[in-house]
Amino acid sequence: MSLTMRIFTASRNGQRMFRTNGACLLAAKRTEPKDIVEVPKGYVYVNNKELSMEMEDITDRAATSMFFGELFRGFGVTLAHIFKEPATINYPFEKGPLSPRFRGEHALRRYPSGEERCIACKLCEAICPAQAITIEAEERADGSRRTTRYDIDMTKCIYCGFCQEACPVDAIVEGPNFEFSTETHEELLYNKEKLLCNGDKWESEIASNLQADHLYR
Amino acid sequence: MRRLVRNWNNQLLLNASTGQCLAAKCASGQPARTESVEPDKNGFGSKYCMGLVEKYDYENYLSTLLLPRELRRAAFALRAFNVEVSRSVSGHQIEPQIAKLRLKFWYDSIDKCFELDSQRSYVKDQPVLRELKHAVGTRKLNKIYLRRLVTARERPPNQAFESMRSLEEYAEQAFSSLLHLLVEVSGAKDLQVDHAASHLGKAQGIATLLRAIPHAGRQQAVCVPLEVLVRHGVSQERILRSKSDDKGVEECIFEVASAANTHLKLARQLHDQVPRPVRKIFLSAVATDGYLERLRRADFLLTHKGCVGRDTMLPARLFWNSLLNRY
Repeated sequence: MSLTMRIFTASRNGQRMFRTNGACLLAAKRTEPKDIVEVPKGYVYVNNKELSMEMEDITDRAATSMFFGELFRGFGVTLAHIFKEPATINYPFEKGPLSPRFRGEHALRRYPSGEERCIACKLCEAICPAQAITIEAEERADGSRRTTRYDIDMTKCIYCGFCQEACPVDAIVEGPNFEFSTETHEELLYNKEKLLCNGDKWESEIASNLQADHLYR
Repeated sequence: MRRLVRNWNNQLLLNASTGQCLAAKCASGQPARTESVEPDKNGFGSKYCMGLVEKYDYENYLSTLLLPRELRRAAFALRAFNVEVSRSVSGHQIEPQIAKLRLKFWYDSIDKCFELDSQRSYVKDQPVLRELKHAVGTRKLNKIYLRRLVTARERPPNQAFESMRSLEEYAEQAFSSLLHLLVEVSGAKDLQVDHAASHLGKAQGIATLLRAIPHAGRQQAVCVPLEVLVRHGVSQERILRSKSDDKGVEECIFEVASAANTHLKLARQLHDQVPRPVRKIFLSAVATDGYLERLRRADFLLTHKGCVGRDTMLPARLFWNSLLNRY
């Protein structure tokens, strides 16, 4: 690791290091490059500086270009990067960190007993600013009122998370899944089966993201 | 310790569910009552309520576990309802409008729990409401207290308390109501008990709100009353920053905490007038006392490590107090 660092720094600061060690000792009174125009006090001129036309500087520049100095420094940087840790991740196989409050694909949850949580109170439908949710409810044979239709148009949804905040029974949640791209528009019109299926698939992650241990109000 | 408690709790639950089955068998011989409550499917509802209380209100979960078996189910139903109501206003980044929607839902559900079975509603599809309805059906519970649990929390989160009295009033509305309900579940009717419940609720409420300060941060107004802040010349921001060497903040927190402590002491003075079975309901005072004590040891620094985390000795202390039958 330290060797890599040394290659890296040497290639980046090569010219300066060589100059301090060798040539700079001889040419201690080297002049700074000057601005092309007269700059009033308190101002900084940000355009190119005028190139120094001292014989020594001209020789320096000629030597750098003749011996491909910049090219070799570039090679040095490349070589050093081979040994450095990559800054990117291997995306489909490894994924970046997600906040527990991340709002991704929607899911309808069930109770541990397998019952659907949703009781068709329609608060999510009412609060949805994009009007992406459509609910129809009907009474079942056993007297429980459940949704017969629970559609979310994922192309209208703006992922504000109001639906999961409004849900009093924690039925609709925005889970941690962000990879649900499809080829057609129709596939993004989610119905109840799809949402429940999402819930079953992501339940463990969703449950672990809803954590707390003390009441605060 | 947690695993031990959980195992123990599972055993209790098993006992409780077999007990319920027996009770159901006994009841089936008799003609059905008008206010009949349908039997709990495999004890799922009560289990769900226990899970909810364990997850969101761990300290009170421990104290409720120590209640006698016949009270436990109803007590957990009430505690779970309290958790649901409290959670609908205190979650992260909940819009005030949305919090109102959720509170309205719970408020309406209370009425639905008091309706007859013939009127079909969503109550039996939601385990907490189902359990609450069971509790309402079997014990005579006061609707007003249940409603107060909800209405007290309608207070906007960014509205600070003006005086110590308004803080106490909020604590009484939101926390004493639950204790009154639990007392009703036990069937005790006594002025002194109500008096103790009121004081204990105030103490619990104030301690809970103090506890919320480092947790909620800038999402809601600091619960320290404005009159106290003005008297010490401290801003809400200074309390939130909670520097360990800030004397003014320490004094403000001390004043609020000592108000809680006074109420706790008043509740404990009535200890001898409170009948023995009700004392178990007031066991949660031990947790409040523990928190106030930890706060005192930390020099009233709310963000101190000891005050933020869980109290590991609490289960043992609760058990000891329940053995001695005191609170």
